[in-house]
Amino acid sequence: MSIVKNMLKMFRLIAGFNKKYWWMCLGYILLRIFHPFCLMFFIQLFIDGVLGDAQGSWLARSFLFLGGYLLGSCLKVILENFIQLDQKSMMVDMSALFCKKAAEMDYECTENPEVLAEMDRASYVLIFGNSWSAYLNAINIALISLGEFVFCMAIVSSIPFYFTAGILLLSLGNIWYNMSAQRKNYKLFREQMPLERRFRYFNKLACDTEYGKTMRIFDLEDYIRQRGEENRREYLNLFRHIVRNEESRGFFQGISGAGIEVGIMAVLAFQVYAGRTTTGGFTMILNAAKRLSSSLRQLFTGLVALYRNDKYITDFFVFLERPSRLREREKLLPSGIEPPKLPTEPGRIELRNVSFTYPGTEHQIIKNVSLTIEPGERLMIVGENGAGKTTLVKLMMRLYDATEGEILYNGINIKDYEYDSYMKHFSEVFQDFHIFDISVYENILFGDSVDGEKRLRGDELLQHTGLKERVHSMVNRGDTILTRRLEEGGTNLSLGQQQMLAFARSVYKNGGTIVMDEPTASLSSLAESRLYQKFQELSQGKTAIFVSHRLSSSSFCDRICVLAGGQVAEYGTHRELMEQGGIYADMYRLQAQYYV
Amino acid sequence: MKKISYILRLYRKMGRIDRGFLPNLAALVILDSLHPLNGVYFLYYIVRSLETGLNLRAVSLGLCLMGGIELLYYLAMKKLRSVNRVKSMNIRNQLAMELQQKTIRLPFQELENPETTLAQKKALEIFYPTQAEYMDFLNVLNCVQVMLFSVLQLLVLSVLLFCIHWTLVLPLLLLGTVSLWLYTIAGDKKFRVWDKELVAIGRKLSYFQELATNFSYAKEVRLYAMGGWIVSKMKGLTSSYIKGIRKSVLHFSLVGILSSLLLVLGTGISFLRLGQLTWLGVIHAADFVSCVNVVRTFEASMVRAVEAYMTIGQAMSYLQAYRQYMDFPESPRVPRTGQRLLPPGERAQGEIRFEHVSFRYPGAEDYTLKDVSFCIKPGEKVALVGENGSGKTTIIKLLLRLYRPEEGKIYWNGLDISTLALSDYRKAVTAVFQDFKILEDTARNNLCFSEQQPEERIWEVLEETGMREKVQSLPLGLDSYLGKTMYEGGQELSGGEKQKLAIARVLLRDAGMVVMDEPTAMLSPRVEYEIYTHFSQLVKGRSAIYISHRMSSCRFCDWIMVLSGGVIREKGTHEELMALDGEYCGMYTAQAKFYEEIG
Repeated sequence: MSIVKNMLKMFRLIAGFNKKYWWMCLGYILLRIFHPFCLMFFIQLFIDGVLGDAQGSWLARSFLFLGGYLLGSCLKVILENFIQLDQKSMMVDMSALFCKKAAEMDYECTENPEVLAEMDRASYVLIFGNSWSAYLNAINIALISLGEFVFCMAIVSSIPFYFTAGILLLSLGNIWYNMSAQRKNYKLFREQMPLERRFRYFNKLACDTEYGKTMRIFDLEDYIRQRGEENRREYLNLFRHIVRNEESRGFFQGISGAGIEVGIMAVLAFQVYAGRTTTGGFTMILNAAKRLSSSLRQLFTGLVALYRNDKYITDFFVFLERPSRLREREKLLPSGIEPPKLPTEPGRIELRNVSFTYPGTEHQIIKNVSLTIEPGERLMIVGENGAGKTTLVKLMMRLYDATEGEILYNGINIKDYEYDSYMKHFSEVFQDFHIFDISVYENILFGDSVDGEKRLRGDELLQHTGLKERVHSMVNRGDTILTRRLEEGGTNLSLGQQQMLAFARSVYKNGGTIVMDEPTASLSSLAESRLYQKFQELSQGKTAIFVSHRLSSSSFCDRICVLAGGQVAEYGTHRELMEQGGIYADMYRLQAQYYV
Repeated sequence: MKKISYILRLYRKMGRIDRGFLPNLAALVILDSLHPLNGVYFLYYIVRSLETGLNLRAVSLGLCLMGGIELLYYLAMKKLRSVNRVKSMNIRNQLAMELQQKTIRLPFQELENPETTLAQKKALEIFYPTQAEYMDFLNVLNCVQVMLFSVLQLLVLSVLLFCIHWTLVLPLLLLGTVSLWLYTIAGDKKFRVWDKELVAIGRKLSYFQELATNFSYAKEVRLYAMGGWIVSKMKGLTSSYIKGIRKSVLHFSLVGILSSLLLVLGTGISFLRLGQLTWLGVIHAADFVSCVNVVRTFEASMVRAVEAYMTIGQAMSYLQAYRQYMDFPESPRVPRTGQRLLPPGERAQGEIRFEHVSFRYPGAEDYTLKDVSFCIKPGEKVALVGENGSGKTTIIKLLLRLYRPEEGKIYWNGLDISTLALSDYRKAVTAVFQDFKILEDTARNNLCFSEQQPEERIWEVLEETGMREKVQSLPLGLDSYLGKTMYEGGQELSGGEKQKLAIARVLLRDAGMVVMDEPTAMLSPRVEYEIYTHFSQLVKGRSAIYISHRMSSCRFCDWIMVLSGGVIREKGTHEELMALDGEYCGMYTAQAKFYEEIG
């Protein structure tokens, strides 16, 4: 069964994080099993003793049990707290594992709704803080209940067997009945997730400062309320279904529960009457029998929790074990042989009959493109929106693999290079760049630790990009955390300033090939001119690929490639293309007419 | 106590939101508190019968009765519980929605106030707890319920024990109280550890989680091979403090142990007293046996009540943050008394006048705008240029009433805009920002939101902005969903298409003044050209402010305003400003030179 398989996997995973944990749990489980029985034995002895049915030193013996109970209570407190501590610290390990996978999986997966849904379900175990510890506790509780159950069975063995068998059957019936309700619930829960996501989305719209302007300018209070209402109603209906489904098995459970209670009392009363048990024994067995059905119920709840979470745990492992096509070849190499790393110096990029279709679609974005970029060359790619410019660049950077054709770097197929080193080779500034909620220096250094020497370099780059004054006017200068998400006292740079910061980051990375996708979209003309100038200075000798609608950048690019409908429509120098009088010449004239 | 009164108010409000909630809850609590009596009584009954002689008929009747009551109890509880669950969820969602509505109504200024955003984040944790469960609203409701029925149960059982013999209740209550007081101390310590430290760390961790899992960062994360860095940051954050926490855990464990000891002692003494009383013949064996059970139930109820109480106490700061947040003053849409309405006729055409407007952002020392004055006549198209950070966007934000000027006034058709009804004003002056948002909703809703617009008008504007074909080609046309994460079959538009849609949205609004902040940044030269040449047609008789770094846009505007360091440096037509040979000239030539060099 998948539950057992998952539990074993989880067991191995946790043992990897923290060896002590399972030992502590074992101790805890044994403690919890025997602990309540100490009290029960005490009570039995005590009652019998007081009522005159016990022999010998019953008082001393009963106090022994009470002492045992006391000791157990103390140990319970310590173990519970330390187990909880370990669970919380391991959640970080789990989370880190999950995040590593999310950060390293193939880029195309990040756009695949199936994978996104899988991730959503897998992260349920982690994001909702208590699900993880609930799962682990469910394992403990299940084992504890099992142990209790066995113990109780031993105690009630003096009751005629057919009766205990009856209790067992009824309880098992209940469990089975409820399991099928859980299965149905999982399906409903999957339906609920998109509703929950939508609810959170409206929450984001309303509460996130990012949407603040939009909400106010367009007066969207009514809009949000309407959509929110619709969503809320749908959600509530589904929730009612889920609750109704869970509670629908009520009658059978009720009867069996009541029946068990009454039956036990009756049988025991008869036992006492027939002289087969003492009053103390009667209370003891009564409590044990009650415990029997309650431990079965707890076992069931624990199993249900395990079952419920099992689906998500499965999703979790499926997600973790998802193969990465981009890194496939690396893994297939015989051990001892390392894939070649990309040199930091610029090399020759060659595209041979490259075509690309987005996974899951039919539309071919790139059709049979062949192109060569010499080391140190500056290429500008232009074209209408949707012509495939950004996609082509992503292919060159190996965020996707081409569906047909091949891309070579210095004559070697890019699939053969070590993936991470290939990634690090490119310095890029994208249209949808991001500034992260870390300090200014960290935004530039990005992954490199900040120390004295690196700060100087950071300041140097801030100077180059004209940001030094602004940054040094901030509270902590270069160490100021940008935006307010993590700490108070943060600040915001304007959009244009953020773009320059992203440029500084790419310069710091110092890749052999520079890729720029609309780098000056938010910059003023002076800042743009500064960026162009800096770019020319700092990219000396490096290969550069420039995607832009502002054709002014062709003044410092060696060649221009015009993409139309996923194919190379025109290719050449500015002069050549102007003489050709085609698409490029047309575009250029349209833009330049306002300036000349 | 403040806490109790707040909880009472909350419950009264919940009762108003969902009428049946409180009665249902009351029934639930009463039933739950009385339930153990069933078992206790029939135990007593059986033992008594055994003592005095077994009358089979009476006993079996008694047992059937007991069974019947159990069954009824069970069925009733099932029903009451499921009703409670549904109603609680309903209330929770309604409260969440109220928070959303509140946020929208807050003045924009407040959103940038760290105190407000912190209160909001805290309040949101009630509905979306990030690292722990105790602050979860539904959990709090559950705890209140548990506490209520436990306390009631204690009351009932105390009375019972007292009736048997008055000395029985004392040891339990005394030692129990001390034990539970220690328990709360341990609990508080535990809470501080789990909460302050872990949750704060958790928030930082969630930042890295966001980095890895929010795929708008996907490119950067891969291009910098950040997987390893993220993991090491996460582990680094935690390992450094886990060691320190261990000591604290040991401390509160010791206090917890002491508490357990006292409780067991209290229970033990009660048992002994019971035994003594029975031995001395003061009470029956039947009383003895059933009281033993009562004492155990009593102990369990005490623990349960205190645990619930503690959880509620821990959640209080979040509940109070919610209340605090909901009490923030808002900028009302509905016109306050004295606020002037703006009928459609007055919205479609208007003159904008800034008079000696100065402004600085809350908490800033320097003024972002200094003594800005200008006038835009109806139908005029003005280009606003200046360096990044010169204050252009700030002028727009003031114009849109997202902020209020510190000094000076802004007039629409001669009326002070702060005296106009906000929702009307926002129909008169509208904008498409650089960071516009296309929502995950149908194309139609993205264009019109909750307003009704005639179909032909929508298609007309789509045609004008070049989006007609694209929208027609979508599977459900205007009713297709945009964006892939929320709805199945959602369509993803390209950056340029989204921009065109955002422009269409603004044009549909019939506002007298339209502001466009970098509206063609993502558009190709041809499309940009289309928009430039047809700009007058697009905007028709409306006034417009056009912000762009592409100086070419200044050519089709009526006049230009140059902003630098929060002050208007130059005003005039393109020819006038070029002749001035000042800032504008500098900016223009900086861009033009790249074209001339080749051209």
